[in-house]
Amino acid sequence: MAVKLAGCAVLHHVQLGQIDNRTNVAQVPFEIKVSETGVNTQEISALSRAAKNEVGNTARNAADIVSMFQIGPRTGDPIYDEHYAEKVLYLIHEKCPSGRVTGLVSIRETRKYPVISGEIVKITGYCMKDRKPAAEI
Amino acid sequence: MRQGRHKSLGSLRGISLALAPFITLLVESCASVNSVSLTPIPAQRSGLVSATVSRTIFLGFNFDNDFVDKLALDLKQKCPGGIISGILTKDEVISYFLVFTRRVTASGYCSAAVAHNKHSTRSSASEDETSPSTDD
Repeated sequence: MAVKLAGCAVLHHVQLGQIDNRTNVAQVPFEIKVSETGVNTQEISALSRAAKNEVGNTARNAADIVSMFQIGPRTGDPIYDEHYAEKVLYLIHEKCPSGRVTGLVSIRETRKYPVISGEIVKITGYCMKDRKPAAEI
Repeated sequence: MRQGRHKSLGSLRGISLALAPFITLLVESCASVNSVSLTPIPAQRSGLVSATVSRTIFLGFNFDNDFVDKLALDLKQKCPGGIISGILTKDEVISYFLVFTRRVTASGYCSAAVAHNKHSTRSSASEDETSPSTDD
């Protein structure tokens, strides 16, 4: 039970971007995380079946019908808004207004809980800033 | 006496034959590639560097994916003061009996900073964002 509530982490995809490791610029690390709640209709159906009453049966039938529209390959559970990950572009700009980013690591993962899940996109990277000479600081 | 020894050897052979499938099952592994991605490849391809991170997960109990964070740092350390481009990231799963290992490997070409100083840092950043990727 405790293990179930802790939420298992499932890794779907990792991608590394070009790494600029030159010493003439300072690199400030940043992290961005966007997520959306996923719903597992199969688990809803299984829980409703366990309830063994009229409401449970109705919920199970509804979940079964919904799951028919959710076939096909995917990572994680179905979500309501598929555009949630698109805002990472703006968030990167917020974290690094100069746009000089390097070492971008994009991670797509799922935090699995009973019935629901957190569908996460995590971006880590470095914002490059020019080093100021010691005399100017 | 000799008959007894022969009998015990026979039973030992029988046990080992019976255990063989289980031992094979434990040692045998299946590999599958989850995803592969590649960043723009440089004209001068030399100084290949690579880094690997992995985690062995028992019965799917995994509570974070923080082991991946080390990958970029490891790769950076292998190319001090240079630029790593043409990075191939391979994410694979090696399955054993009740256990699987999640392994992410990144390899790229480390170029000396001098060669790249001619290019602006902005161009390298934009290459990052538009890098192609393929999923299985």
